[in-house]
Amino acid sequence: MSGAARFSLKRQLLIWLLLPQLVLWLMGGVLAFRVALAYAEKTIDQSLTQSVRSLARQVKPMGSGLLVDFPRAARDIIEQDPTDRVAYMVSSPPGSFLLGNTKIPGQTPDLYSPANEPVLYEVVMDGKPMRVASIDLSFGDGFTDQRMRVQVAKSLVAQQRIARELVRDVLFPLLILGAVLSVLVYEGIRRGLAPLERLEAQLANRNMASLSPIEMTQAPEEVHSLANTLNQLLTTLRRSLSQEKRFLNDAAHQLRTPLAGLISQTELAMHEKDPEALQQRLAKVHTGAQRSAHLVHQLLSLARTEAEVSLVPVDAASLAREVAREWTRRALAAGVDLGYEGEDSVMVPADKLLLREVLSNLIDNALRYAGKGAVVTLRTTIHEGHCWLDVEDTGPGLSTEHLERVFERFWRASELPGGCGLGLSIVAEIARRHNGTATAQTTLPHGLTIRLELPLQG
Amino acid sequence: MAHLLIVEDDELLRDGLCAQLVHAGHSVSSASDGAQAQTLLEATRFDGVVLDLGLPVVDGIAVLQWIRQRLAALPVLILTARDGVDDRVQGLNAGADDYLTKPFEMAELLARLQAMLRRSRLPAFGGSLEVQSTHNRSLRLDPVLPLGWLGEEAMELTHREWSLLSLLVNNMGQVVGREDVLSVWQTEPQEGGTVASNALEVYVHRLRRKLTDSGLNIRNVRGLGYMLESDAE
Repeated sequence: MSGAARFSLKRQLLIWLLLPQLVLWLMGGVLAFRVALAYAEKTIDQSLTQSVRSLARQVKPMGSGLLVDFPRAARDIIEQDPTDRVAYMVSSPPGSFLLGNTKIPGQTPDLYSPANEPVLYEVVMDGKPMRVASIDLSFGDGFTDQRMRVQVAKSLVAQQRIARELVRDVLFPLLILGAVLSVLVYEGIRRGLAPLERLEAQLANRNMASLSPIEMTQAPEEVHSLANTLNQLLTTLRRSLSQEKRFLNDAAHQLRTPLAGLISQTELAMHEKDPEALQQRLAKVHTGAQRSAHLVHQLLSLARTEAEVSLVPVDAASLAREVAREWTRRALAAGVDLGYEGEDSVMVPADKLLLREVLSNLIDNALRYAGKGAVVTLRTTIHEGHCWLDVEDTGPGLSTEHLERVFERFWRASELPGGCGLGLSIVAEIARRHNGTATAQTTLPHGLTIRLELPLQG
Repeated sequence: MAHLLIVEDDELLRDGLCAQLVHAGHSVSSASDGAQAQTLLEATRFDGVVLDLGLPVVDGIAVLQWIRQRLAALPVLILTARDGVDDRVQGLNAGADDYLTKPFEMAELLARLQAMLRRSRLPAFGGSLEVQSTHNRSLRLDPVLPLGWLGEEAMELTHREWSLLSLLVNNMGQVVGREDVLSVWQTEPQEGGTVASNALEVYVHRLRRKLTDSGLNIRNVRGLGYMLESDAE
């Protein structure tokens, strides 16, 4: 639960809910400003056009001259706002000052503008941006065609002031709305994710010793199913851990006992004077060492069955013969007739190493318990889509109640030396890993048969 | 019989192995780590090596690779305490002739060593195929031609009899499966057409007759195959 790359649900939600909102808000602001500016400009342009037309109407041509009838009242209206001064100028020919309160520059470049049509443009006067409406008029008779220009200019300060006011009136409430929304979203996410944090806190306080189920009484549906799944996992884990603990206890006992025996026997042997007795002690030491070796091997193969197995097509019949051949020498030494009967070849999905382990275990068991003169037969049979791998012996066999217990760990039917009670539980475990079963039954008239039933290779 | 090098770091096991192999009639040198083994191998000629894979200083696999670079034909039997398949495969890939997993029975080690030494004396390595029976009459087979001798006496062998007997001699004390024999026969020149299903039994029967009173016996292992053994076994 650490590291820079930690994925936070809360952060993801916040980013995806608030970031688009911020972007939309900014876009809305810019748009509102642009719209406000455009409307303000339109309003100013209309009033400038009106002013320039009414001023133009006051200028009347008289013969070859001009009569400007500019009443005081009209001048007052034009110059009404002292801070936002309106400048005007009449010139003829265009550009040469006739009358007005300020000299207003022409449009640059000074394009020829059509007569009687107002033109709108911006200039900078005394360092201030101004909007200008200009109209050119023709007057005079046919011989002396003259032009005059009427210009009215207004500062753009007013336009910007209007735009600013509009923006303020629109954006300020938007800003407050955004802030309130952000707080609400944050609080909503926090509340929504609270059960997850409670779950995390509960899990963080756990260790291997306390695997009790998680308590989820007031959690929403989604977290409930997650907690349920976790609880199932915890239950499985708890069960397998307790099994493991029991196994470890048993194994510790099984490992220590023969070692203690070995130590006591060697101590006795060191002080033994009689060669005959010494020989007997040594024989016991040898048996004890063999038993320990066998046990270690069994425990290791049991540990190996816990690991993942990968099943590939294996010829079980050929493998059975191969393993039996490896045991022939020991079978002969034990006075047992070890043989094979059945199919030439049977393909089953298996882990070769584990299947070999099963067969070795079964032959080992049969050789140990069937006794001298017994017949041990490995047999493969194909039966209704399954492969039967039987190891049958003609030894004394087991009683019905014992037959039921042979696959339990550390259970032993007899106190014959060498066994450790793990062999058949390993067989059962490996059979299970191969999607098969291991069963024990009585061979008629006497003896034991262990049958491994595996699915055939499809 | 043979000069062997034992490379094993566990003193108890090394001591035990040396004593048992000397008892079995071999002359034995021993090393407790890989570097010591390399020194000995450079100085002396050995017939075979028993090599533990988990060694200090220079590890077993490295020693094995070192041996394969210098002494390509030297038979090596590896010992390993790890029983994962990977370990065996790694050992065999690095050039081991055989392997045993600890703990093992001494009889097993002796039989494997015997078989390994016998194989190394095949013609490719300048030897001949020979087994000693308890009757002190050795059985010798020509490695290339279908000829055999029981003591000083020449045996009359057909090609198939000779190749079957070679297989049994090569794996003396171990079971040779029907399928092993048939696959060898299939690669050889045919005599009298295809191999009938009961042909193997017929040939074994004939060989048994020829080995009468030799001290050697071909045992029929039920459903598994045949095994050449000395009468006393």
